[in-house]
This record gives sequence, structure tokens and C-alpha cells, in this order.
Amino acid sequence: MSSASMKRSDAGALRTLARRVAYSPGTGTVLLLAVLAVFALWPLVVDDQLLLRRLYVIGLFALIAMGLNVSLGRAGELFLGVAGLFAAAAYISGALTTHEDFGLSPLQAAPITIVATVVLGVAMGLVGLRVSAWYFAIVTFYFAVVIPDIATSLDVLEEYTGGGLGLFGVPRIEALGQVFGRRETYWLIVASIAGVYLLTRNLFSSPWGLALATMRHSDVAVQALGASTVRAKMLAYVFSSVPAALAGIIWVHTETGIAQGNFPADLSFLIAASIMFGGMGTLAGPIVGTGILQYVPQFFDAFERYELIIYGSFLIVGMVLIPRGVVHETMKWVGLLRLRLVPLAPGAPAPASAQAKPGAASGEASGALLTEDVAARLRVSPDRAGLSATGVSKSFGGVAALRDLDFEAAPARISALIGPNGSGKTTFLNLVLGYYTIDGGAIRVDKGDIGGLAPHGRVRAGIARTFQAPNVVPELTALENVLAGMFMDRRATLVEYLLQLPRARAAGRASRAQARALLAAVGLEGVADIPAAALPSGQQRLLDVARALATGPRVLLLDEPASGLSGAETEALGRLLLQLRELGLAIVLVEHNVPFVMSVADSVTVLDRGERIALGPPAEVQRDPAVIASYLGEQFEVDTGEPDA
Amino acid sequence: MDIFGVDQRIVLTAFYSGLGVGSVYVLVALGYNLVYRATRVFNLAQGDIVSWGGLIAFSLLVTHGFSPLAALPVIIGATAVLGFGVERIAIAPLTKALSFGWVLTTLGMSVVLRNVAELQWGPDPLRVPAFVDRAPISLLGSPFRVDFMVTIIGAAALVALLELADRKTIIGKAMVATALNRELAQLRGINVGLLGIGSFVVAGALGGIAGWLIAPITFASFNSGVLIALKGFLAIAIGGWGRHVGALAGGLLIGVAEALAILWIDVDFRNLVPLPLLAAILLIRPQGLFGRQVERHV
Repeated sequence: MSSASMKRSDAGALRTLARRVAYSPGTGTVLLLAVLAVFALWPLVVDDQLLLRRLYVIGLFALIAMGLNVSLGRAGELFLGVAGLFAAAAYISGALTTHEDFGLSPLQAAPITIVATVVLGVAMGLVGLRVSAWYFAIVTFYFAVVIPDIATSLDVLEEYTGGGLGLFGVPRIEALGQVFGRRETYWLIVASIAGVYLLTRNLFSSPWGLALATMRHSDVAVQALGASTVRAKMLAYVFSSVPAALAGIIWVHTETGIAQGNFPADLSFLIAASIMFGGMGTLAGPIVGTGILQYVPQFFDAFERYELIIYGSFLIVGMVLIPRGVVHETMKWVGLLRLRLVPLAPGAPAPASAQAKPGAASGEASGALLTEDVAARLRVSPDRAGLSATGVSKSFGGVAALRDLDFEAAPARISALIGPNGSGKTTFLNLVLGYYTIDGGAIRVDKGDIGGLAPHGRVRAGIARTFQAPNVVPELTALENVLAGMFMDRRATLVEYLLQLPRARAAGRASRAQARALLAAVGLEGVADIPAAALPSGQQRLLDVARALATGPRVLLLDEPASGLSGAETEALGRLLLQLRELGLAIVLVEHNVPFVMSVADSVTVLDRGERIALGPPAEVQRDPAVIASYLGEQFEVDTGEPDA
Repeated sequence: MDIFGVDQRIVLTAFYSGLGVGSVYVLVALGYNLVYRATRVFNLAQGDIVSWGGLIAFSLLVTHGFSPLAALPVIIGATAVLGFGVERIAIAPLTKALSFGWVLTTLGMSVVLRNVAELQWGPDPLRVPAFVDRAPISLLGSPFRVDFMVTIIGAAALVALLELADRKTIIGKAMVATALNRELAQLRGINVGLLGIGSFVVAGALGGIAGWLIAPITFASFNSGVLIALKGFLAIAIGGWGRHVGALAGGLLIGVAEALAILWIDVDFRNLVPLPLLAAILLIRPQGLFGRQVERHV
């Protein structure tokens, strides 16, 4: 081998390596941990007490912000109670270590404090299950304000919290034979940030994390995954409470006391602002945002009395100039720079930051076939009975939307439901999924009445649905959207996912392979890593179908799946539906594209003003005079492409 | 006769003053309601506008010797301009798609207003004279302060006016439509941007009046509005979203409960009073006393 060709292959290997490093999702984590390591090491080299003090405060706020980021950034829940939890943890740990009834050391008190704080946080969050988003924000904000008040004004607590005079003589943390000074405390904070960062990262990529991201979009979307919104919210609150508890514990044992006025009322908003400034829902956002918002004011010191005025203006200008936050904005530039410096290999999938080309990967040629693996997963055993609805009625304020409807969707059949707008089609789907309460009649899946089940329980019973407005999470990539759909197929416990134990890693790999295969089945394999928001509406609709299939349904409800699809996409969708029928799924097709319905459906039910006016095979229904009069119209001619039509 | 160990005439007086303070909360809550319905935003600087109302009142009445009647339009004008400024600076430049940005910008406004106020008026609480200088009127054997009476009647009349406006006037109907669905309202030709500006202006004026009314009781200072703003927040949480009647009921309820708690328990409990009220509401009627609940549509 000549030395020239050696060099060339070396350069090639180097390029491949650079590409792998630049595009690996692990690179960000390594970078962040490296930055944290630098932060951890500098006090050994430089002796700057003032900076140490400053970073200690920033670190504590960053911790609280990282917790809030799980509820606010990831799940979209304005859980402003975290500042109150910080105060509560400080008081609890302070009381446990100073009052003679307990006499615990800080380390002994820590687990009790954390558990108590989490219980308090979840109790606060319980309120959120009953009220709307803004209501929830106000109520939890108020809780954050009154917790310090409760601690200081209730006579029964005075003995433990020191009442209005404040709490003194709280011991410092002692571990490894060392009383924690400023520097040790600082290390403890850096370590806590690293730990919370890694746990949050693992949470975000786990099925639960995807469910939380879906919740930011809507509660209905979470239920459509088969996840309970109650449990998802509780999880978010637990994740928000623990870092606040840690921060409270570290703070109280460093300050060795609590004075009135330590917890200003707008602390909660300040922490929320840090997350928004850094970048909502990003892993580094809360750290970066807190760092900037807490560190920047010192530069305004020179302006003395005008310092805070300038700071307030900085908040406004910052938000107006970079509304998505520092991290999102930086990542955009990093992504562009990366494409420039380390171009992708030809034929490699486009990175998430690239724009989707409409129609480029819509399976026009591929024919959208299910792989063996996916087919095996989706196959429904032949003893299933499908969906049957009898005598279903529903009215809204005296107006009957559905009257005594009988509807049957047998397994391995495509049962279409058509009718003019307002005929009750979507109402029926909402009744099946449990979004409306049924007035009369019964809906059964596999002969079991599902009337008593919550929406997510119905998804678990084997019903999946696509939506008129595609139910995809815009911020998540196409692949992540399908992965979110596989929520019920968790093959490891939450703890395993959080710690990335072997079973969770294996489950993650298997799920990703399956999700890619499902994307291929709807012709979206080329856009797997592109955010759903960047996809054209037709592809979003197909993605919604893939997401619904990912739940492994026995009954599949499709709400106008063909609208917005191109001719080729509609054809591919038709082929996919026929394949799914072969696998034994009971398919309910609500659709306005009559030629499409006539070409794939086995039976057609026609609704008009809430009542069934026809039921039969497509050829028969389209000749029915009542159907022609109410829906199809006299002029209608069908081209089903079948010889007997 | 004693009620829980306190003479009933004193209880009645506390009740009256609770109603008076409560109607100030009502004014603040009405401001939140208007802004929320038009823009889906909670103006975190509203509390500072309340402080400014009190401080401007101090300057006019004490420093410049204005009569209360002459001061009122100036206060209303100045705080309406503040509301307008908050909308133009903190709300208007935000991109519509990003729903949480206002937290940061209105928080920034709050920081700016608070610190400008501190620079201008100093850190110490200032005493502002009551706007009615007449002896209390005896009602059911207990004295009822005239300024409280005026405030209560004013707040109740304002609520009645706003409720009537919702039903009868085109602006009120546009507000209701915007609150229900912004995009649809826009398609109907409603200028939601202008409605947003208008709501901030009116809310600013209401905040200013509230600040002026409450200043003789709590003193005026650069941060005196924060707690009043919180009570206004809670008044709508208890009374029900977007309903003016709810703001009235919630505000008066909190005011009265507070006054009685101070009387029977301790002044420290003032901020804790809404807690049991709120808890009870959340358990029994999570949509608030006058809130409406609709079946969710998908």
C-alpha cells in the first residue's frame, strides 16, 4: 500500500470519527460533564471566596430550576410551588437537626426531608388534577408564598421553626470526617447538578419522558398513548420536588439558620424565568439560564442604584430577542456550523435541524410494506371480537348528536363510517375513546363493556385512534413520536430507565428498531429524525397513523386519515390498511374521500343527523337512494377502480 | 353580646372593614380578569401598578396638596399610561406562538417599576390620608367608615357595569368572544390586539385606583402592591375564571375572612386566610364559585 493511499484512508477514518462524534447524542452530555468538572476543579487552583459564594447561589438556583424544568419545560405544567418546597425542605431539615426531639445529623435527616418534601410537592400537584393550567399556576404560586408564612406564624410549629425570630444554630453537613465549609458545599452542589442532569437526561429519553413531552402538547394526546395523565403529572411533580429538596437541605446547613424574608415571593417566577431564558425543556437550559440571570446583575453593579432597573430591562429585551431561549438559539447555530465543518456522508439521514422537503420521502415508490417483525407485533389473534356499539345515544344541550346508533367493526374488516358534516361521526369516535360520557347504549371491545374505563384505559383495552388534527408532538422528532406511541410496551421499570441499566438499554434499542420499521411502513423512514413540526400536514397525518399503530391496537379508529394526503400517499395508505386488515385488526374508517372509502372498505355505515341511514357493502350503499339524497348527491359517480363498480 | 369572645359590635366593624379592603382586592382582580380574557396573560407587574397608584396619591395629596377629587383623574391617567406601557413593552413584541414568554417580560417590568418607585419615593412606607374626611356612619350599631362604603359601592357598581357590558355592548361581546377563542374572534373581524391594549389600560387604571384606596390603610411604599396583587390573584381563583361576579365574590370573601382572622386569631394569619378558603373551593367546586365548566371537545 502506498503512503498516499494510507493517508487518504486515515483521513477517511478521521472524517468518519469526526462525524460520529459530532452527531452522537452522547456528545452533549460529555461536554456538559466536562464543563461541570472544570467548575468543580477551579477552587483547587484559584482562591476566590466571592466567586465561590456567587457560584454557590447560582448552583442552588440551578438545581431548583432543573427540577422545575421537568414539569414546566418538558410537561408544560406551571408548577410554581418549587420555591415553597425549597423553603419547606430548609425548615424541615433545620428542625430535624436542631430540635431536641429529633437530634438528627444533617445526613440522617436528608432522606426524611426529601420524602417529606416530595409528599408536599405531590399534594400541591394534586390540585392541578382538578383545575386548568393558569389556575394551577396561581394556586401553586400561592402555596409557595404561604409555606414560609405557615412555618413562621403557626404557634404549633414555632417550637421547631423558631417562629418570627428565625431559626439559629443549624449544624453544618458533616461527611467523610469533614465539616462542610464553603468549598465542600460547592462540590456537593456541582455533584448534585451532575446527578440530576444525568437522571433528567435518562428520564427524557424514557417512555415516561416521551409521555411528559406529549403532555405539554395536550392531555388527550397522553391518554391516546395509553398513559394515565394523573400518573404522568405525579411523576413530573416528584421530579420537580427532589432537586428543590436537595437545594433546601444544602442551603440551610450552609447558612446555619433561617431568617424571615429569606424566601421572597417572586422567587418562583425568577426560577421559571431562568428556565425560559435558558431554553424550556432542554437539558442544559435551566443551568445556562440560571447562570446568566444570576451572574449578569453584577455587571450592572457600576450603575449602583440603577442596577435592578437595568436588570429588569435585560429580562424584557432578552426574551424579546431570543424568545426560545439561549440553548435553543445556540443549538441552531451549532447545528449549522456542524453541517459546515463536518458534512454528513452522502445518503445519511438528514439531521434533526435540517428542513424537511415535502414529499421527498413519502413512500411513493416503496409501496409502504410492513416488515415481518412489525407484522408479528401487530397481528391480532383470530378469537377477538372487535368493536361493537349498540343503541348509542348522545346529546349536547338537548340537541341529539347520535340517536340509538348500532355499529359493528369486526376483526379483519375495514368498517367505514361516512356522512355529511355534523352527522355524528366524530362524536361517535369521542364516545368510543371516552372523551364524552355516553347518554345511552353500550360500547364493547372483545365483548367487554368499556363504558367504565377512563380514556387511557380504553387505549389499554386495545383501541387506538388518529385525529382529524394530527395528534403528533411538534417538538419531538418523527421517531420519538412513534416511540411515545410505544408507551404501553415498556420492557423495563422506570428506575431501570433512569439508571440506564442493561434491560432498559436493550428495551430502548428494540423499541427504536420497531419504531423505525413502523415509520417505514407509512413511508416516513427518511424523515425519522426531523421534528414533527417541520413535516408537511400529509406526513403528520401518516405519522399519527404510525403512532396509533405503535400502541399495538386491536381496534384502529381513523379520523379522516386521507385528507391532506397526495394521490400517491392515499394509495399507499390504502395498501397499508389492507395489510392491517390481513393482520386481523378491526379498522374503523371515518372519511370524506368517498372514492377512497369505496375502494378499501368492507362495509359502509352512513350517518345523517345522528342516525344510521344505510349499512352494507360499498357497492350497495352507493346506490342507496337515501344516501344519494343526503350525502353523495345525484351527480356522484364512483370510480373505485374495481371491475364490478 | 359576644361572638367567640369578641363584642359583636367590634366583629361587625371588622366585617365592614373586611368588605372595604375586600373591594380593593376586587378592583385588582377585575384588572387581571380583563387582561386575562383579552390576552391569556397574567400581568406580573400589576402589583407594582397598585404600589404606584398609592405613591402617586401620596405625591399629589401630601406633597402637592391636591384635593382627593382632583387627584383621582391624575392617578387614573398615570396608571392607565403605565398599563399601556407594560402592554407595549412587555407583551406586544412577543412572538405569538411562544406562550410563556410573558412570565419573563412582565416580571422584568415588575422589577423595573418597583425599583424606579424606590428611587423616586424611597424605601419607607408613606402615610396617605383617607379620601373621605368624615366621621363613620353607624350601621346596625357599629361604625362604618365612609371611604369603605364608597369603595364597596364603587366596586359593586363596576362589576355590574362590566357584566352588563359583556351582555349588551359590542366591546363586551367582543371580549367574551376573544376569551373563548382568540383565532375565531379574529376571523370575526375583532381587533384582538386593540382589545389587548385596552384591557391593559383599564387594568392599569383599576390598579391605580386600588392603590390609592388601600394606601390610607396599609401605607404606600414601593413594594406595598405585591401582597394586594396576590389577593387579587386568589380572588379570581376562588370566584372563578374570567367572571366579574366571581372577582367580586372572591375579593369580598377574602377581605372579610382576613379581617375576622386578624380579630380572632392574630395579625400574622392575614396571608394564610385564603388557604382554607381556597382548599374548600378546590375540593367542592374546582372551577371556582362562578366559573363555568364545559365538556371537553377534541
